[in-house]
Amino acid sequence: MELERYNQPNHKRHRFITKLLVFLAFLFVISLILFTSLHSDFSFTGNVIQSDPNNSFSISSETGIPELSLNGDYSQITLSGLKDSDIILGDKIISLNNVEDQLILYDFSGKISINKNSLNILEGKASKIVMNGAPLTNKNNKKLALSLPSPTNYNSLVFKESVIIPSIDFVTSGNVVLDGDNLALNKENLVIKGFSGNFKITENKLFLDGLVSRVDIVGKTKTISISK
Amino acid sequence: MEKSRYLIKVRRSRKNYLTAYLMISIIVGTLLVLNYYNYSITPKVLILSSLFIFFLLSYTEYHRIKDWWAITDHSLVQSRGLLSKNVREIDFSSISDLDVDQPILKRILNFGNVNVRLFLNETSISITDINQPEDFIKELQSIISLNKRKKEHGIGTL
Repeated sequence: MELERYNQPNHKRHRFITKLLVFLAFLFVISLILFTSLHSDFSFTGNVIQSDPNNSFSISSETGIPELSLNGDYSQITLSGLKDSDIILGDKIISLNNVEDQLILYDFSGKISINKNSLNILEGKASKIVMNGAPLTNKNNKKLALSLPSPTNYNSLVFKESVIIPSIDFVTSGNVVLDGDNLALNKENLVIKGFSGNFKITENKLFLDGLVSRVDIVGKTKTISISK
Repeated sequence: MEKSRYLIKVRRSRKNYLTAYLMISIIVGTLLVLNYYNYSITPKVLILSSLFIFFLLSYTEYHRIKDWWAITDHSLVQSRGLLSKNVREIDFSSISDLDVDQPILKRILNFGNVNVRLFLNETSISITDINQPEDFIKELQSIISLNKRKKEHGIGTL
């Protein structure tokens, strides 16, 4: 007399394989959690949207400031002119009343959203924050969480290293130099795709210097599209 | 096999899935500790962890509810499967003996298997991973005895 199929070798083998697969999935999930958290520079996709030098051309521009959101890891960001606002560092709220307030964020990971007049979102974590020359770090060498409770004015925003922006689309005036050719814009729609390079906002102007995969300028009478 | 005639109905114990619950606790605990110490947890990892936890909970609940066993006043009923069902009813007169199968861990947690062997040379019934299997056997034996006495005294069941 034998017990039914639930005790038979085939069923036992099937149960063992199911348990093994679940355990391997568990190991994968827990390893991924630990790896991505302890190595903040880890990326699922890598820098796949970075401009390919073979399919891109140089850009150097001085234009108005678009509405833009950036999300990623940046080695150093310098912000200045944050006035009449507060900033939340960890669980403390620090008031920024001085026009000279300058904030330098080292190893920042998070989100920044800007427009012409204000810094709307600054939310993320940084390994070190220097506020008006005074460094702030976490006691445990962990990253400091920071955010803005409300949009604030700013004078300048400078990234130390190359910034990758998949797309910018805005109406602006200014100068754009593409592979040495100068184009003057007068309230025209500028579309930049696949930008990688230096990014600086100062004196109410956006300065870009790097590589781009495509640029479209849509004027009142004609459209210029440049790509390789 | 009317539902109202079931004197006792049992399913697998949740104690059987302690390993799965332990895995979920480790994942949730790790996420909480990392968040407490201000380590960044990416949304993709958070979604993946949630999906894994959801899958594990759904699978354990599905596995638990898909099979059940019941005792009526004259038979043992076994139902296997949730979507495709296999229901088997065994009259008490076919049952030859009962035994409990409890390895040490299941004995500590008070759950285990009850094997129901039959007189006929066919596959027996295994009531797997139920709570308090010894109490279940005692109940089953007393119902079988009661049924035998009723038959001996000519009291039929409706």
